[in-house]
Amino acid sequence: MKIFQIAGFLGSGKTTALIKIAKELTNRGERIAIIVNDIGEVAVDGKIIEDYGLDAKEIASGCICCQVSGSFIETLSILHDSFNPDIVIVEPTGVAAPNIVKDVADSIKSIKSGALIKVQHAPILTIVDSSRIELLLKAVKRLVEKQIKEADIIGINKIDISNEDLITSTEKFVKNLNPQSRIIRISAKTGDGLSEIIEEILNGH
Amino acid sequence: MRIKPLTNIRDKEAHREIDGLGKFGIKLVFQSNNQRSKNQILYFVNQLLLRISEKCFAQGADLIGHIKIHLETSAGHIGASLVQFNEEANIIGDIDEINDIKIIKLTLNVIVHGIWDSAVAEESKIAIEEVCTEINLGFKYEK
Repeated sequence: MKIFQIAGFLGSGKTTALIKIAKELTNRGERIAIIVNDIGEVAVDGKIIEDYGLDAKEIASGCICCQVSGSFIETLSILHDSFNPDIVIVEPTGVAAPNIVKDVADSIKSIKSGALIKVQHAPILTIVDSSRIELLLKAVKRLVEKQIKEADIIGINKIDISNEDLITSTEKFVKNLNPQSRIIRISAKTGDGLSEIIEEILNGH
Repeated sequence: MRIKPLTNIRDKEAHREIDGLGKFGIKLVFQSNNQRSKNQILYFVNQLLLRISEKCFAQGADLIGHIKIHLETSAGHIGASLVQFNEEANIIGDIDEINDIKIIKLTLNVIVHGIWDSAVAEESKIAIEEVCTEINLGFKYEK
């Protein structure tokens, strides 16, 4: 079972990207499960994903990297035992720390046998909203920088509505913070760039 | 800014608090005495998102995390989100062009930077009441 995490700040385009990526992976014959985490008391993303014919497990009322990590482990364990998907796509809240989510996922155990389940991790994708990068760095710099530093792939999103100067400056900023990452220009809305991410999910470490 | 002071760094929600992100979420059911059209529903959704953002910014918010809505009617479902102040909402999904929509189930999730949960809740509820009064739409909170 491989876990693919789509991280990124609130409003960056995680859910839109998730829907397109999940549909394409399903079309390629992969058994997909989806876990979405809303920090609010009521969940919205799961309902939107289900409107697209995809089944999503929702975890609400807290963050899976800390407050409700137990629910996350339990959900992963149940999915493993009951469905054994090829890939679990995880959309944490926009305030989650990607590396902690990854560590939490490493501690899942089979509910039936109690044995530790060895999971693989696809590269962590962090999506960055290039159209409002300046606003984000004024208000939530610490969080955005953390999510960028902990990514393997960084999707510079909203290239369909952003301008070239903002896209280029976002790329430079990201590269400076995380030189090891692969940077891909994407539009979650139009689907541009997502095929490269899908190849990384299927063939990446 | 009306951020609640950090009282306990070990608080399980410390990271959201450190980043100053206030949240509010609620489920509502709207009931109209008059039958509503698709355009009226879309107008309502846009007004609701814009009004919530305006109210929160007037109280000190300086960034929208997201304001998201999922809306269910007999004519279909839509998702709507606003992430930029003073811009139109992004709407996905669709509802049919019929004019007999009377019941609307709505899930709302608001996260903004710069004001804390109680202020986000208060401003969101005021916005809901204002918009509903303007378009003569009754509602009740589910949660």
